[in-house]
Amino acid sequence: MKYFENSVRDENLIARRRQRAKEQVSAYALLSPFIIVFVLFSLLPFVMGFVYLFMKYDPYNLEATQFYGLKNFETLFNTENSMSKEFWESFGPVTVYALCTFPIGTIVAFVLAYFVNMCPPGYKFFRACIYLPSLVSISIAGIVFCNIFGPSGSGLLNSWFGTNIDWLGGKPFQDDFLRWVIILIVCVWLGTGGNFVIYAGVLKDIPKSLYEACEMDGGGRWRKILHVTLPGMKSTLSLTMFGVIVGMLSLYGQPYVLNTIENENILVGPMMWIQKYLTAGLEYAKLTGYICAAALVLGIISAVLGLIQRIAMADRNHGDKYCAAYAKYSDLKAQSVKYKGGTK
Amino acid sequence: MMNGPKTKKRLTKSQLTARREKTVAFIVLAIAALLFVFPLIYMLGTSFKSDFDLQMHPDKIFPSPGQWTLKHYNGFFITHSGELDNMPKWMLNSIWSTAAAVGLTLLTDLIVAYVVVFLRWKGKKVFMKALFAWMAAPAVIGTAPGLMIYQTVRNALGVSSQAGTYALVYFWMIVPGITGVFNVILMRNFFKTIPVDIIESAKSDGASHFTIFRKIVCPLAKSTMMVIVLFTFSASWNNLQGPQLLMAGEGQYIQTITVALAESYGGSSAWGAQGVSMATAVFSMIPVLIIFIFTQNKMIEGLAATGVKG
Repeated sequence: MKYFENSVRDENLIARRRQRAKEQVSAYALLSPFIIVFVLFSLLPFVMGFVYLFMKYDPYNLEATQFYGLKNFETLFNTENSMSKEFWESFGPVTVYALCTFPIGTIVAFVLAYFVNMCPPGYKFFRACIYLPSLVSISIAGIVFCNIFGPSGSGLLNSWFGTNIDWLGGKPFQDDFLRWVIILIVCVWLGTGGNFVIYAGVLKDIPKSLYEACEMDGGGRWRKILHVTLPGMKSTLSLTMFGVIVGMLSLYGQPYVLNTIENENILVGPMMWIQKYLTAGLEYAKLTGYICAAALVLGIISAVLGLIQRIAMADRNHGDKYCAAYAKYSDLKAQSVKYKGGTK
Repeated sequence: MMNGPKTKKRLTKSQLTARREKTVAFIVLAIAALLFVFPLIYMLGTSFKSDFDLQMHPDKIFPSPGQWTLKHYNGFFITHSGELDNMPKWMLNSIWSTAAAVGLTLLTDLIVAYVVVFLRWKGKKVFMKALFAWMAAPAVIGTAPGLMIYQTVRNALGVSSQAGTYALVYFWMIVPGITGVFNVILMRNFFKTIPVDIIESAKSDGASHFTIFRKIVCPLAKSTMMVIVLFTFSASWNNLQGPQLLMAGEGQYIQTITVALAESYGGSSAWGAQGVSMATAVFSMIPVLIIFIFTQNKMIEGLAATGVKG
């Protein structure tokens, strides 16, 4: 009898084990396409980036490829080299631009989300309208805004006001203020939608009881925003801001399409620099290692910026205490109501 | 609607505040929405202007009466000596490549998320950790080597014909994108909210994993799928930098509409082709608009539910 029971149990165990093994195998089989594509097309280039750094790599003449040590970096940090100079200078405009877009873009998205969250009549329509531009491609944005801010013969604004302002001309740090304003406008126009929808979603999730509790404590509108809304959105804000920062450093499309003929070759961001020399053809293909070094510098800068910003956002957590305190308070309140009222 | 003004009851103070708030919100949002949509309306209007009107009335958003024309859209419908014009070619390139990218991405994300959440296997934790770590890795480091690998493969295969180049470029455009980690994590976060009991009970009823995947998980994941469709669609349709790298130095036949718009009509190149460039832009917006109209409500709900906690 006992023997029989044991063998049944064993058989069960074996069957279960076999199923486990089967599950394991099928899991690996299902994952393998993803892993193969990921390794070949994402991980391998990434790793090769670190290899090329130390090489003089010539794709058209593989025999000339040799180990180069840190020479690529030496060239990159040698500002007498005209390409390197161009690279470092391209950080200037992009930094100024980042300092402006960062707050403006976030504030616009937040304010619009705040108002949408009040659910006025037709808010779904407005929400769709505000989100729509973020689906527009950069090429289209370029065409439309170049026409709006075009020269007096064809531009919408110039002909409205009868002025003749050269909106898109101007060289970096000389007379290009207007061009930067336009790039800023286009970035806000293209970029607000996504963050706006995310903020609106988070705002909706902040419990109403927190606002009520704040109101009972005599908090006005600003207090509510400062002590309930913002702390509640902290993690989301930091997440989206990270995206904004990285996006700004790799600014490429906007300056590429918002341009005039005279300005065509002006580089306004490190990403434009990388793209320009990568597509420049044979002559520059020899400089792959050097371009990789530049890309690494850019990548490290954006990673470090993101890290700093995350740490900064994580440290400012006294808002969380308010949040937790209010949550506890409202929980207690809800419980006491339950005790008195019972179930309906 | 509960506190509608129809009842003549006296409103309390907080109700009054709420009403005032709503009015302010309505006005602000109406203005913002108008500002945000205005460039698109201007684009649509200009695309119908006749050449005369373009010259004489640059200050008008819509054509003057009698000056409406569909002339600028001709490139899409008229064939030149039996050959398609470039515009429909660009459009077709964009449409099929985007459709392929969206389909493959969705399939990959669903499968990977299912495997990660509902199957038991060794190395799952390491796998997820690697994915999260990859999110923080700056992708820019891979651009140059990626291009080099592409060129090496191309030389090794000896591709020189137009058809071969076309196939390779589009392969290289579509396939690397399907492993976007963000989408996978989005889907996995959603799958984690599905109660395990449902899956377990289905299993005890004898359902295979494939049946569970098809009949239970996929229907539940509809709104997250919508989010991913919209994201992937717009990202792939609007992708400029990557395709530009691959298509540099190739003929115009290979370009997607976004690349073509930037290179042929963008910025400084728009001279004298205002109407055509606007019409092409309008045309290239249509697929995005269609997707948006179908997905927007689900998308916004889905974003609120899943995208936020990342």
